[in-house]
Amino acid sequence: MSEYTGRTLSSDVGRRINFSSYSIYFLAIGLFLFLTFATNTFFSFENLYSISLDISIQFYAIVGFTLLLIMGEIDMSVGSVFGFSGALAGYLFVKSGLPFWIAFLLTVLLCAGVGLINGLVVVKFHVSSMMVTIGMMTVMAGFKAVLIGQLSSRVFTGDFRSFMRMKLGDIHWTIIALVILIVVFEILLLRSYKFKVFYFVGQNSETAKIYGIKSDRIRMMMFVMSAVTAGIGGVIAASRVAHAAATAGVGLEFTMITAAVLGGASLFGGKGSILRSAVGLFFLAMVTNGMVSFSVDPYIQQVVLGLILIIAVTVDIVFTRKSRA
Amino acid sequence: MNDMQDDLLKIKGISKQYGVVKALDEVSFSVRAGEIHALLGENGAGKSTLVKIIMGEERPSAGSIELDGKLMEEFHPNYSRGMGIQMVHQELAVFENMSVTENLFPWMADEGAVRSIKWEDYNSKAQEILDSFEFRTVVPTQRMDTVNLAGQQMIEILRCIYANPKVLLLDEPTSGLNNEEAERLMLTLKELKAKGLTIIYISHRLNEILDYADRVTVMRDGKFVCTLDKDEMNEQSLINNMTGREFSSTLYSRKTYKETINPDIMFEVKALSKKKVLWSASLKLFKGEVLGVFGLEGSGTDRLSRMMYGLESVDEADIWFEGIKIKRITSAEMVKNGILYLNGNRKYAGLLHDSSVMDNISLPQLKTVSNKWTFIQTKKLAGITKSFIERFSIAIPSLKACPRNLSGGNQQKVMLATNIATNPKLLIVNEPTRGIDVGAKVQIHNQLLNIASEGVGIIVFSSELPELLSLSDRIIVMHEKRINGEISGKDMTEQSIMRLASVRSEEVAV
Repeated sequence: MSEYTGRTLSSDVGRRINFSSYSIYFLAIGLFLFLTFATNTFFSFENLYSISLDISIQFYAIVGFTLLLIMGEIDMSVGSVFGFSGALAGYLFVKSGLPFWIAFLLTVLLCAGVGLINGLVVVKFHVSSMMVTIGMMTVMAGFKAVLIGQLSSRVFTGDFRSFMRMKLGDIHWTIIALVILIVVFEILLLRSYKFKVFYFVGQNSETAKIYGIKSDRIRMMMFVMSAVTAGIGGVIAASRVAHAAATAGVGLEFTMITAAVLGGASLFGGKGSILRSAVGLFFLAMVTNGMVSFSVDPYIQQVVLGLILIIAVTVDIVFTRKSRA
Repeated sequence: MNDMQDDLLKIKGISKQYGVVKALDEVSFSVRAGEIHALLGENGAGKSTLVKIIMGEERPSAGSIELDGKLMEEFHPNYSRGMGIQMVHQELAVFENMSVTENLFPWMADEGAVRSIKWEDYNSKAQEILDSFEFRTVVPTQRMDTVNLAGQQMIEILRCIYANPKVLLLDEPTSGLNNEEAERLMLTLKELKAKGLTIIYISHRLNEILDYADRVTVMRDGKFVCTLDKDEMNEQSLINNMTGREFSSTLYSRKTYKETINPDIMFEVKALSKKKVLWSASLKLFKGEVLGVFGLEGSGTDRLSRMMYGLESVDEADIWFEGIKIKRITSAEMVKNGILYLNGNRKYAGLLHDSSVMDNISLPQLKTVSNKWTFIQTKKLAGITKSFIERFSIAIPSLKACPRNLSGGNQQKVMLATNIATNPKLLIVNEPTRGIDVGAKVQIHNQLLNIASEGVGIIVFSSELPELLSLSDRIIVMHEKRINGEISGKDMTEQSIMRLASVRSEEVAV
């Protein structure tokens, strides 16, 4: 038997040393350096700040999305919920005349309900989460369109508009919150048993159940989390543009999958981290940013992003298969 | 009779290397025409790899194989089939959503000019084959997934036979079958042998080998140990060669039963029922007792174990533990009460195959190994893990190793350690030694008896009678989804239990 010592025994799933968990850092740093030297526009405070601000809004949606991916489940309705929540909060604020914070709270609660429906159907009736949430994606897109029709491009003013514009010093609060949340989640997921158990449930929910963990409840909770964080992100995004945009959240689910899988999450569950998903978002934002400065045709940009998703998912499957062979 | 002339299959110096691991190391032996030749060895001895090489599914790193005097020039399944070799895998390769006929003749769509399937022809041909083996429980048009495991296996064998092979390879054909079904299968193999077929088969069941095999080749750690003739074969010689050590009779030695059973009830299940699955099952576990539960396949033992632990829903049941009724029958509630469950299928659940052994050990006691901030105390956990690795002598490269990369025996030990590390009051174990080698088996039995002597209640569900007899103070027997009776102490014999397991108790004449 080979030796082992008490000190070097960190064994967390999320911290296992393998190339695939770190590859996103290398990719991001590589692209960062490339863009810094290859373009004049990339490495400037304004540009980097603007990228960070973009990410800080999508980031909310990816928190829940990543947690759900750790469960081995997927939420294709994030984008629709994201768009819907902005429109709903706007409707409650403008049409119902509710104070912003109440409108915000009600919106998030309703999103939680949407997530709960996803979770109940998937967990209780053993339906594929991909299918259920594609259905929910369509449902919520419909509701979003109805609300936007009702709002007839009214501009959100007052508290709603200033919500996202609040700053701490010179920095938008969303960027500060992004950093704090990443650090907190990274620590909790690695160290706290209440969070680490997510990985165990994601890896084998039946095993977790045998050892007394309420797997089903945790899985359902993560569907709720996904919808709630998408809802929060959607309201922040609506606050930024100060109206309910028909394009809000469209295609977001693909950005989320690509970023999370680039960040080491697996469609098979049991892997992933909020930090690395956020780096994945940053990577994608840099790709888009770079393509713009090289004036790549917008349609070709779409082609590139699609290819990145295919490659990321393929690498995930090949790696996972190899490690399980 | 000259040995050399009768050899149909000659295996010459076959080696197989997987990276640094030597799965086979210059294995040489011969198989005679028209014999049933058993391959025996502990898990990881290389038997499966060897038959896969014969079948052409794996390429050897060195060595050659001769069939009927001809050197096998290629290692590819199609080539081997062309040479007259067929194989039935341990994991059956059947089309569950198709009929028995389609499973017997999977290539039938490829025949005929317009490739239209002549159903009547094939169905009647299928019926003929089934009839010729007096296999009357299935009909050709039946869907494969409505046939039980033994039947599916039989159909797969018949499919191989239809190709008229010289050699039939079977990888643990009886492992999923109950005794009765296994016996019927072995009788069929004997018939096939009489027709001139040569059969090589892998099995862990010593009695079966003793009864039906003409010769047996024992392997150990990828090496050939010996080939024994019928008159040299007995339980002791097989076990000795398999383990490479003189094996004392500790394995199935009868222990002394607890004569005066403590009348205090520790755990009681009252009238557990589920429509079509279980009829009102009740059982009691007395303090300090090891209770065995036995039943043949389909008798409901596995479902009972899962239901009383809350892994499957029940229509109604009352479960009492240490005099208190358990309010909600869920696994979470059980663990809270100090009741744990060793799963019967470690591949499917019971282990986190891609997490470290430490993570596995932590799983049922996450709260205990964490501080008040819910942070896992890695040092404490490492200490616990280390002590169990030593106590169970688990062969493992580091605490970070994942069960996926361990042998079956070590996986099973990790799973048992995960249960015992929680200091349970009651342990429900389901098939504690399924598919593991004799050495690990003994260790697991000793660990179970050990904790039982410390006062932990144990309920063992097992389909292996000798195992139950050596572990239990009392055995409950199930038959056709109900509890059929119980036997304790010196009355427990293989015969008495088997009788209860196969005949409804009203019919068992008293």
